[in-house]
Amino acid sequence: MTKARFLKERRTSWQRFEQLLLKAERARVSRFSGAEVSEFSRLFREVCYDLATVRSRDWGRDIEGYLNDLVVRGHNGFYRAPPGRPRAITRFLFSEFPRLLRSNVAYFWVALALFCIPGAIGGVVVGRNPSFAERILPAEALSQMEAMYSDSLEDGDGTGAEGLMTGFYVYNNVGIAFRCYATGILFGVGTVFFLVTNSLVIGTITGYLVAQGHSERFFSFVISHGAFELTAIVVAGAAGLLLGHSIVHPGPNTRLESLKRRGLDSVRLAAGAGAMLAVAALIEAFWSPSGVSSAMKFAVGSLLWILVISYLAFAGRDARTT
Amino acid sequence: MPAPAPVDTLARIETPENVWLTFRLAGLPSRMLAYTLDLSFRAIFLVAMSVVISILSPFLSFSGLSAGVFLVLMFLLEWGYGTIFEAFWGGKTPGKHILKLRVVKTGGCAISFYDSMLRNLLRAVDVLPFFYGVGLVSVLLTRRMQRLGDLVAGTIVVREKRPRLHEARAWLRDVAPLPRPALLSGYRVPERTLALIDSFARRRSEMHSARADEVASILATPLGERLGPVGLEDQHLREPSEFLLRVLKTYTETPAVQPSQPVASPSTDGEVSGRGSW
Repeated sequence: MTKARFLKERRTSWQRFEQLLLKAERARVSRFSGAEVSEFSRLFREVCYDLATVRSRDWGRDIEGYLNDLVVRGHNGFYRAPPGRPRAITRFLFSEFPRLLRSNVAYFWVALALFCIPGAIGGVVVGRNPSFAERILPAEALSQMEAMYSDSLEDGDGTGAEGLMTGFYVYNNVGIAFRCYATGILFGVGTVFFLVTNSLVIGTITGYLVAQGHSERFFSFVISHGAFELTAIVVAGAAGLLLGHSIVHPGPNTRLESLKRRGLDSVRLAAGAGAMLAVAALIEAFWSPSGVSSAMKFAVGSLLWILVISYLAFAGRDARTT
Repeated sequence: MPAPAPVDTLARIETPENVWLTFRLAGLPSRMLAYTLDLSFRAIFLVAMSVVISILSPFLSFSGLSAGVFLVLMFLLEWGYGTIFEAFWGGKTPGKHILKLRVVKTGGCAISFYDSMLRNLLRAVDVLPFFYGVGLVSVLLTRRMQRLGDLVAGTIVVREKRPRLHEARAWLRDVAPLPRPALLSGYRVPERTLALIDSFARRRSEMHSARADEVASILATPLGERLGPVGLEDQHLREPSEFLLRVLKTYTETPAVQPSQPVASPSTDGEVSGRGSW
């Protein structure tokens, strides 16, 4: 067969395949009728064969490039990951994410230790001797903090300050959590740094405010959103440590291979942490600063802690058996 | 393929249909340009949104709320722009779309949501310590030009072109066929060689004419000898590119002359033969 005859004979098939490709690229292959699906897969195999023929005979670059492009697009349409459905989001949040965390729980405990111990030490030291706080945080920040917790709380005044604070908490906290996660790839160093520094700052503020006698105001403020926020930061830290561990200790794989294997798990953990932080932002902006009595806040906050812990510990357990 | 992988910007992938696909990897300049475009789109969008919000806010009487919405938008643009576009638009952001780039898995298929999220979250490390330092080094050091996020997510950025299959051999229109005596030598130019000349003809405009002649002479010299002295006064030596075009014209457009038995290709030069090793 000569090149000219080959072109003449095969061209109509290629054009038909191109039409199907355009359709597949606009909608998805799943929208095709049964006949179209079988036609698509038949033509796809034919075009693959044509490409091999053209290559084996060296029939020039233009036709090879053209067929290569057709096969690439066909391959893309044929082997794409199944499309995401809205149900996948709820399944992820209510079963896959907590299960994934439980199967990587060792990282969670390490992240928890990194996030608690420096803060606890800092808090105790500053609580005994508040002047140490100025070594960690600038004095203005401390006095600002103190002023904030000395004011009496009132319900929203209609200026939408809650909305502003939600936006700020989303922008700031989720950003920090994602950075804490991503820098785990630097052999875990970035994650450890973020966890320890944030822990120290939080511990220092706590110790300082307790020493200044604002403990009831402070704890009633942080207890509710803390359930989601502090846990989510530890989860993001666990995700970063998972990434870091897979590069430090790749096991039987190469470091890159190991990163690729654990990478998807780690980003799913980070996604879950992001979702928890979004919930925390809403609570922190609307509930925590509201004028409700401290006793009420402690009650609700404790319930939220129980909720978060049992969510992470139990959600999705039944799904494993079904 | 036992031969060592060639040093070029192509990525080859074997499909389940047992055919090798070639992807042209996107280099640094096009990716940086795409990123710059995306950055300006994000800036324009933010400015537009802040105008819209400032127009609407007197009616909403929630000045804080609009600032909150603005901050959430900023968050989404910073962390979600790449993730969402690449996950739901076939691996493209607007900037990549304009520059005809696309993110695909190293296996050639489309990326999933978490692939996209992984490569875009790890951007936070690729930008370190400044101006994408880590990412730049990683792209320069890896064979498939991947930044850290690409390496972990198993993705590559490829250039898309939609090659068209041209019907008309426009460049042959003004070429005279070889004179009849040339065809009497009994030698018939094999199909493979004609395809080679065809490829050369298509790329001739990319070369300086002297260089084109230099390349053409590799094939024209032995071909001219095989065809024998045909009253062309050694055109194959004087104007090798012109000679090759005449051969192509004669053997593809004259119905009487059919190519026949394969003859070893006289050329092994990469410039002319293209990638013929597989």
